[in-house]
Amino acid sequence: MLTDLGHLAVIFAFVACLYAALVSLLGAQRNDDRLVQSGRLAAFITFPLVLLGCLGLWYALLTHDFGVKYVANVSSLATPVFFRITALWGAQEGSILFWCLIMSAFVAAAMARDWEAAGDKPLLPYVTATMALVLGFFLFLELFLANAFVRSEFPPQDGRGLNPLLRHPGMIIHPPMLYAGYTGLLVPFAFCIASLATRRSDDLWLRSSRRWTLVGWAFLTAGLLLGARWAHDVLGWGGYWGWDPSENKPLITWLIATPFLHSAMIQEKRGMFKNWNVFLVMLTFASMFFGTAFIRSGLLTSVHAFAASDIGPVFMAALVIILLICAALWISRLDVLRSERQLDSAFSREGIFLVQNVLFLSTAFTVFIGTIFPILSEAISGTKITVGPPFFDQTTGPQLAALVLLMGVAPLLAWGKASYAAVGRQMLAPVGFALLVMVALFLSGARQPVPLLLFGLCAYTLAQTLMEYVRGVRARMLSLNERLPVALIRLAQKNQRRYGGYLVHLGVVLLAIGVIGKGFYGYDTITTPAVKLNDSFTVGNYTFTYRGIRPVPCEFNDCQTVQAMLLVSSASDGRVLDAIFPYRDHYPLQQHTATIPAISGSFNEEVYVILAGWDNNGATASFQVYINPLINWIWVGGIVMLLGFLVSFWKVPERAPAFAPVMRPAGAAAK
Amino acid sequence: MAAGTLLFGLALLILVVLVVSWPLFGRKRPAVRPASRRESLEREREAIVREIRELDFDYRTGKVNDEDYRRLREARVARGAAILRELADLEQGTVLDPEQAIEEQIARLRTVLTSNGKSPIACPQCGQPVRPSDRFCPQCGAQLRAQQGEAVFGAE
Repeated sequence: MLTDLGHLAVIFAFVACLYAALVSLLGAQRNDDRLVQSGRLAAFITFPLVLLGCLGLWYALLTHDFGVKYVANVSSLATPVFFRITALWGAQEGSILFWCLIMSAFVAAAMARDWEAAGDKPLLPYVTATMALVLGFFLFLELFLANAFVRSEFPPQDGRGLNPLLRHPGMIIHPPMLYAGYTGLLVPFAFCIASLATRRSDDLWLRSSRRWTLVGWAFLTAGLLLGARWAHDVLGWGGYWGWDPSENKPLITWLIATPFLHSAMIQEKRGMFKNWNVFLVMLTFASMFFGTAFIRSGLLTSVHAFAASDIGPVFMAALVIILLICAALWISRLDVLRSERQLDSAFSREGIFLVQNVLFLSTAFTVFIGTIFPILSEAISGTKITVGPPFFDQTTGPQLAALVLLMGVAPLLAWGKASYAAVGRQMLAPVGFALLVMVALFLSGARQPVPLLLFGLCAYTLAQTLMEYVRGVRARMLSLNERLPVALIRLAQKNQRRYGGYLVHLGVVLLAIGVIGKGFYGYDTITTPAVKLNDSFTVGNYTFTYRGIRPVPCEFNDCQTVQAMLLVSSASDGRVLDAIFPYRDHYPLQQHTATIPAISGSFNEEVYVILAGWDNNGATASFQVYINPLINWIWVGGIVMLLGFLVSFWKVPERAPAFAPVMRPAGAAAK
Repeated sequence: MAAGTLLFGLALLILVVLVVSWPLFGRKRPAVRPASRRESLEREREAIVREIRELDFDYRTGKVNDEDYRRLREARVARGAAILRELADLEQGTVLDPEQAIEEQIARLRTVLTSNGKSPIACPQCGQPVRPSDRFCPQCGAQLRAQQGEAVFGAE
């Protein structure tokens, strides 16, 4: 019964969305606050309603109600409680419902804010309408095209169990993170539409939605990183990134949302780039929508693509309609979006931000073309050609390197107009540091020119970013007589966005070091012929001794696990370093085998071993060994990026000074 | 669908309708006041003050050279002054020295934000940077401590 009640609640939520949109627009047109407030409440109430829907489905999952088709599809009697909870987003139908839950949470949070105090009440009806319509669309998908509540006439005795790939902690947090990222970015989009609808020319929409954009961006970043970690731990690719469509899609959105975060600052600070920001926020939204359509329609094959379904065309039709509305709205408001100011000089922070924006977008476009290439090629030549990682590496690599360089140059340029001499002076020390690093690397044996140059670039940007803190702290210590720790804290406090942002930059550089290390110095070998019992083989600095395989009890009772044991010892002095156990999980019911790597080595050099196969009950076995230098820097960099987000986001109560009255009454002035 | 589900569903529906229609029973109020020129001017004033502070910071960290700094700063202060004049016109008042008023606001903002109001880092009269130990402004001679210091900086 609870499940059916949940179904009803989702239907009510859908109706509430339509009502909210309609009544809000009506309220705006008639300037009647009652209607606007009613619409606001209707949009707010979608959250408890969708939550009730999720509770209904959770109840069915927890009670093994296999009469509900979805439950039979994603769980079985053997599925542990924890995975029955996460099975809510284990397949198409449930994950759309879960997506709706997260989106409605954002909608409710936006509705609950104090619009009057924030000074953006004129935007409210249009924000409500935009968000309600988008949420309504997803609820429509849930109810009419991928309903998780559908019952079957003949309930099976047992279900199929959760997709084995999804039984990993990374996979459990990764989808909610991505959904929160996407739906968080819906907020600036809604504010932008509202700003256009009310013919505003100021930056109110940007300032009002700034923190939401940051939240969306941070969730997206965390989702990408967790996805990479999951691929590294479970898929047996040997790496962290495979340019799979389902990875590329959030990456494309990230590559558009990131320049938006930057160019929003230019409008806030200088009143320029208004059209550009509108364009970027619309593109962010469109990329989210388009990507979701592609992944969920089964058009592209991917590690976890959803089965082919008729959701794709509906998505595309909706996207076209949304884009047409956006374009019409935008074109009709071009007259109010003129820049307030001219560019003082191209050699300024504004100027370099524009370069950075264009680079980000061209990278996003490159990834986009590579991702849809199979579809393009099929449409043109009739054969599906998939472009592999080399294409992506070679095309995006130089662009990403240029972006790392810009991170090290842009902060040096002042707003308005920068001076060549000042920029040159500030570059001296970091360039010197980079040269030192390159010489040290060269002497220690790194002779390939490209990675050497790239490491030099990273060293430069790292030093330059740290110097930004040094310069700020020094300026405060000199002019305010503050001591070092006080100056550092006050510096960050005074401009959280800037110094949090620089921390994100530091994280990106660390991540880049990991990418370069793995990309240029990583290699892998597969043992051929297969290794005999107690034989050894050597890869790089490591010697591996094969000590046999054995079946072990599996974590889940619907799978069989076979584990191999290898001794890892140093190739130079024979010292035993570690014993590792790569294994394979076989799921007979789902006809799926998961290859789980064993990981050893040091922080700077990861050894990643996969059990590739075996014969004669383990008399011989073969292994694939990956040496991944510096890969751990990626995870550290990711953590630093998220710390940077926290610094930018965390609201330190600031005693904002009230502007003193500067005017005197006319009578007093005459005195 | 069982009778119980229908009953609870109906109850839920009534609850939703009640909540959503609640505001409709109130008195009619306008949703939006016409945006006032004054509000947007005040926002612009805040923006220009922020912008000048940013420029000052860039200058102090050595990112802008003297000549550009002076030129850009003058242009911005002039813009701020124009905004203040328009604000004053709206109030049917006059502002005696708008340039100086802008500087005062920058200085006040800086004082409150940076040194917790204990000692000013810029003269509230003319905006000239001063040392914490200064008792009088080296530029215009305004008193920085004592009675005026209390009034301007101690209040926050």
